[in-house]
Amino acid sequence: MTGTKAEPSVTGTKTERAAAGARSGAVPTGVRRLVNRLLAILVALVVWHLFALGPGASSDFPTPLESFRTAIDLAGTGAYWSNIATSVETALLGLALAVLVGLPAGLLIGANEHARRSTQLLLDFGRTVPAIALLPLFLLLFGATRDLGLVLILVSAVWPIIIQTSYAVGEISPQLRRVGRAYHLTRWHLLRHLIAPSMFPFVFVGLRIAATLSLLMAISSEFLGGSDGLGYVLLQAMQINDTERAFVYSFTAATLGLLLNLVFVLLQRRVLWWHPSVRKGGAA
Amino acid sequence: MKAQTTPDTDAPDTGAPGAGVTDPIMQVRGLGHSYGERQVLKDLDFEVGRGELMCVVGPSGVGKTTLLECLTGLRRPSEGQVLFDGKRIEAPPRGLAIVFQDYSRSLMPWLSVLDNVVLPLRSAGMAKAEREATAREALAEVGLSDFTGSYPWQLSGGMQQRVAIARALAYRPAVVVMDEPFASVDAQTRADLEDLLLRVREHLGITVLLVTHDIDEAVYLSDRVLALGGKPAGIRQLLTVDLPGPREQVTTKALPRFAELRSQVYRLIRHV
Repeated sequence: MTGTKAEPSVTGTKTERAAAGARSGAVPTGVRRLVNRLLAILVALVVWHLFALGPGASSDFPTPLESFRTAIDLAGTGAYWSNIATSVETALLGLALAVLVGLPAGLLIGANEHARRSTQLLLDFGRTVPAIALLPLFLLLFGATRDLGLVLILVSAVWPIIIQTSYAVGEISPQLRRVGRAYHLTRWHLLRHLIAPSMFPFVFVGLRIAATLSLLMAISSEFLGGSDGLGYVLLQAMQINDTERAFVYSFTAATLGLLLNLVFVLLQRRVLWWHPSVRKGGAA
Repeated sequence: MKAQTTPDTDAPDTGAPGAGVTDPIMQVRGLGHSYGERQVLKDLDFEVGRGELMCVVGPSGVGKTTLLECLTGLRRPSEGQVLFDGKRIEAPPRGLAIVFQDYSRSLMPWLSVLDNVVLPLRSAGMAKAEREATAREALAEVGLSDFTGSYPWQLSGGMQQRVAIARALAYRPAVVVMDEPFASVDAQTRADLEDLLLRVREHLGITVLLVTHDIDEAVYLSDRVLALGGKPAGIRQLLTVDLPGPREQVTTKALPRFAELRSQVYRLIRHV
C-alpha cells in the first residue's frame, strides 16, 4: 500500500511557525506584537492629552484622564447599562428582521437567473439609498419609537443579506452538484451537507456587513429620532455641552462596534473552520 | 486479469466497433451528441463486459468528458441510447459510481474523509453501524485507514483522489466510471494509483470504465482500449489488449507487445 508516502501538510505548517518563532530571538512574536500595540495606544493617548490641554481647551475638550473618570462614574449607574442594552436589543431585533426578510428573498432571487437579472436595478437602487435620508419620512410614520429604529435597520441591513445570499446560490460548485446527482443524495442531505455549507461563506459576509449596519442604524435612529438608547443619551449630553459624557458615550458606541466585530471573527473561526480563509495548513 | 470477456481474442487488432461481448453490463447504441450546431460525438456503438476494465482514450478536446457524461446519465445524449444492465439510462443509475477528475472540488471540505465516504450511504438509507463499517472497509482498500478523521484539504492530491475512489467503492457499484482520475497528480503518485486501481478491481471484481488522454495509461490498465478520434468523434477502433496479467509498471511496460499496442493506439488517435 502506498498510504505512508504523503503526509497531511498540517504538520508542515507547524514546523514553519516554530521556525519563524525561533528566528525572532528570545521574545516570542505574540508578546512583541502586543507591546507594539500598547505602545501605539499610549502614543495616541499622549497626543489626545496634549490636544485637550492646548487647542482643545477653549471648547472643553476632555483629557483622557477626565474621560476615564467620567466613564467610571457612568459605569456605576444602571441607566448607562440599560441604555446600552436598549441599543443592542434594537440592533439585534432589526438584524433578525433583516435576516428574516433578506435570506428568503436572496434565495428566491438567486435560484432564478431571470429573477436575478430583473431585480439587479432594484437591488442596486435599494442598497445605494442612504437609509438616513429616509429618516424624516419614517419619523412621520412611526414617531420616536423603537419601531423607527427597526424599520431603519431593515431598510439598510436587508440589502447586503439579499445580495450576498443571491450571489451565494450561484456559487454552489457545479462539480459538487454533479457529485450530489451521481451519488443520489437525498434532498435533505443535499441541502444540509452540500448547498448550505457551499453558500455559508458568502451569506456570512452579508451577515457581518448587516450586523455592523444594524448597530450603526440603531444608535443613529436614537440620536436623530429621539427614542431611548445610547444615541439618545449622547444627544442629551451634547445638548447641555457635557463633552465628557458625550465622549464616553461615543467611546461606548465604538467599543460595541469592536465587540461586534470580535464576535464575528470568533464565529467565523467556529463555523467556517474548513474554509481556505480560516483553516490553518493544508493545500488549497 | 485477461480480457476473457472479449470473444474475438484471436484477432486483437481488429476488434470491430459494436462487437458483442458475452455478458455486457453497459450497451451503447448509436450514441451521438451535439451542442447546438456543433456535433461532438457521432454513431458510437460498443458494449462493456461485466468485470471488464475499458479505457476510453483520445486527444484533449475530442469529447471524452461528453461521452462520459452521456454514459453515466449526467447528460442526455441527443442521439442514441445507453443501456445499463439492460435498462435505458435516464439519470445516474444506482449501480454506477463516478470518480471525477477534479478531486479537490468533488470532495466536501467541510466533511471529514470518513463522512465524505459515508454521506452517499446515509442517503441510501444504510444503518449507521453498517455504513461506517462499509466506509472504513473502502478506505482500508485504498490505504487510508489512518486518515479517516482528516479533512480532504489536509491531504495530498493523490490521497484526495483515493478518498474519491473509496467513496465510489463504498457505494458498492457494479461499474465505476472514472474521468481522467489521475490527470492532476504527479507521475509517481499516478503510477501508484494505477496499480491501486488494478488491485482493487481484481479484489472486488468490479467493472471499470476509465477515460484518459494518456495512451500508456490506457494500454497499461485495459482489457480493451476504445480509441476515439475525428470531428465529430467516433470510434477509431476497439482494441483488445493482449498483455499478460497481473500487470506491473516496469516489466509490463518493457514488453515489446506493450510498445506495439502503444504505437498502434497513438497512430489511431493522431490520424486525422
